[in-house]
Amino acid sequence: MQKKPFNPPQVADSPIADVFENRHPSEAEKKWAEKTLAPTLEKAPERPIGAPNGVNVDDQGNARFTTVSGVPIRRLYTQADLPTDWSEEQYLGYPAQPPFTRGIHATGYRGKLYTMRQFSGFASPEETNQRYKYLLEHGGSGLSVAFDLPTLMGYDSDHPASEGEVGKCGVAIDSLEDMEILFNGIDLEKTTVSMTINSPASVLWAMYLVVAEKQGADWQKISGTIQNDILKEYIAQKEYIYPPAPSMRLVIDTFEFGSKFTPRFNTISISGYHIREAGSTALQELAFTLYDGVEYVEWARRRGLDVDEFGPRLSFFFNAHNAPPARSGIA
Amino acid sequence: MMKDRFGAKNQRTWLMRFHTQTAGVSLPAQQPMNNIARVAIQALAAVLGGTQSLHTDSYDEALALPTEEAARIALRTQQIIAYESGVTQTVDPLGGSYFLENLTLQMENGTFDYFGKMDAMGGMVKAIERGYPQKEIAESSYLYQRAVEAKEKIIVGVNEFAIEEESPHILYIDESVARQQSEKLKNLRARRSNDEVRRALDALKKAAAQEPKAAASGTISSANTMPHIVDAVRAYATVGEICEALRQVYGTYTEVSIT
Repeated sequence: MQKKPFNPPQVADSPIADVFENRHPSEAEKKWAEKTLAPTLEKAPERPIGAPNGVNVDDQGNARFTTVSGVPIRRLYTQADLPTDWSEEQYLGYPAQPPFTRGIHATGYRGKLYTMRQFSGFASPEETNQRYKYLLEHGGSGLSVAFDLPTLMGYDSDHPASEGEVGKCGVAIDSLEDMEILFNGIDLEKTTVSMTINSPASVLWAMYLVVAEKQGADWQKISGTIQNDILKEYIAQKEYIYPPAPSMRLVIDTFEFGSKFTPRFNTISISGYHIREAGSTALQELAFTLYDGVEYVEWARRRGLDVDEFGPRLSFFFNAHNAPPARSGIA
Repeated sequence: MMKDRFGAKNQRTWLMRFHTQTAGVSLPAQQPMNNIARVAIQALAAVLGGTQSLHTDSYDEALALPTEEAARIALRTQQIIAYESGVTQTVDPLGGSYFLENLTLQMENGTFDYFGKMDAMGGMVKAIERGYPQKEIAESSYLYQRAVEAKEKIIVGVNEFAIEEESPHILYIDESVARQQSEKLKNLRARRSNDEVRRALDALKKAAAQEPKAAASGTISSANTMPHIVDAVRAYATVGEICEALRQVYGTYTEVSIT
């Protein structure tokens, strides 16, 4: 075995070694580590959150701290944890300007709060319609439809495969008639509706559009979202019907249709949520989801669609777990 | 990404709009009221992250569909963050935090590492067919579960601070919905024009079997399935019937084994 050519300086076995590893502390920080931190650690060693073994200790036996995704967390973050060329102008920019790290609106939430969109749906369309009216009366600002398992898998309520599942985890929708009941008395030109539907997304979306039309709403004006993200079904959620290639083709059909007829409707919500729910780390959630986005764009371009025509209609969906707020403005 | 990789010119294409939901998987059935606190913390994180829309989970989600009260508390949690916490009063309040910016850069670098791997596999559909993302997720999930079982990661009220408790009041859906829906379907099939449904489904199958190509501007591909699905819906074809028509053309999928 070849010996390592370089050993870290005298601090190698010191409890404050981590202050010097893979970062560039200022003179003041070094001084703080030696004069203030080191004596404290000597008097009162750090204690891990949770059992003092496995992921919670390093090979010297010191306490180790990690996020829920297992990412190691330092005791203290300073300028020394950012790249040496880090500057606000280059890395952050300003709100509503590329790279949009500080958000997409110049005034943040001061001009427009986030949409409070509670996902719900259960039992029959009649009962769910009542819940929607209740949520809207109590200050909810958008609707989000949960469908039952048979609907998600493309089966009618009277199909043998649906037995025991009708209306259990969401609302049962079989035909246009049910969709008419679901949105009875709810103005679809004024309410934005999100629908968690994937493999049969084009069918449920078509029903929604026809209901809107029957209400007298203008397709050019209605706004909302269909999840329509089949890739994460194969990756994590497992509610797919057809093989990947024809499924992708159906998704691109909705992009093309939407960019012509429903310019304010989000024809996809590229979803990391279910990937995280399946046990991924935050990084895997972000990476696989953004890469799913890349795949949809590749397929759409192969169809001959213009990226600037359907691109603005791509939306994303992430999971907020017990972890620090991750920045996501890097699309 | 949209600009550098795909040459998008419109700034609306470059930016990302996103919805966030609090983590259902983090809400245990034990001492379910504790979930109100978890949801509040997660929702705050989503707002600090700049989300465009938000769903807060109901505390009883691990048990069943939310009761009306649980659904209301979830909505109230969002309203407290929006109207009382003060975090909505300034744009991106955590911007420039050493900790946050360090994590952001780690996420960005890690993401591009994954992109490189999956580009080399020929894209996401190819990566899925060989089980790559599925395997990565299964491994992370296993590591986390192991840490929880060893109490290296604490879940309050589950592997620490647990108590004996009675089962709470939950919303129960019985089989009457299935009967009611089946009855409606029977009536619908007797009432609608079944010829019209058949014609619409045949047209859909024909389009679905063709290779769509974008047509001249102003129109959509002649083989695009959407207009045919809209026609079928107007004729009151059911979800099951339309999906069955597409199953006949495309077949169904069975997952690759990842072990």
